[in-house]
Amino acid sequence: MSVLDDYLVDPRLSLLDKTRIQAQVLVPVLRALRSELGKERADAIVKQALRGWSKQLFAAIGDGVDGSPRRKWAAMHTAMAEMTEHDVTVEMHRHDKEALEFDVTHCRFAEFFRALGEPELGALLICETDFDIAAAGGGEVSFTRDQTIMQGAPSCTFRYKFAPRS
Amino acid sequence: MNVRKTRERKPDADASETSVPAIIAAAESRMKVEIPRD
Repeated sequence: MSVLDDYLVDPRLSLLDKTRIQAQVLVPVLRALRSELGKERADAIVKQALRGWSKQLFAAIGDGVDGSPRRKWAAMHTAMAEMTEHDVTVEMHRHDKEALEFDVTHCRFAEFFRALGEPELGALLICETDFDIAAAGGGEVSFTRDQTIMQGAPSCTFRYKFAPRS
Repeated sequence: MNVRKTRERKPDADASETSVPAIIAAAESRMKVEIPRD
C-alpha cells in the first residue's frame, strides 16, 4: 500500500508502463490539436491542462497524509522514489537532515519521451510532478532543479533543502 | 532507489583510499528519505 496508489491507478503497473499508456492516447490528441491550432497554442492548452491536473492530484494526495508538510512531502517523495528506482540511475551527493542532493544520470522516462519526439509531454507527465510533490512540503521543503535529461541535459540536478525541525 | 555505480574506476587510482569509500557511499545512498512521525 503506497500513498501514490491512486496516482498509479493499479499498483501492479510500473510508472513507466503507466506513462507509456498515457502517451499512447495523449500524443495523437496533442498532434491533432497542433495540426488544428498550431504548435504553440496546442502545446499551451495541453500544458495548462496537465499542470492543473498534476497540481490538483498531488495536493489531494498530500491532504490525505497526516502530519506536517515535511511528513507529507517525505511520504510522497519516498513512494515516488520506490516507483522510479528501477528506471533511473542516481549519483548521490548529499543526504542529511539539512539537504538531499543527487543527480539522475540515466532516465528511462526521458529515453522514452525523447525517442518519441515529445520531451515536453514527458516533462509534464513525469518531471513536473517533483515540484507538485515538493509543494506539499510547504515552507519546510524547498526544491530546485536547474536541468533535466528530458530537456536534453546530461543529468537532472535534484536539490532539496529542509527547514530545521524543532 | 537502487543506486548503480556509474563512474569508471581510474586506472591509476589507489584502491586502498579512493574506490572503496566511493562504492560504500553509492551503495548506501538512496533517494528515499525517512518519513517523520509528525
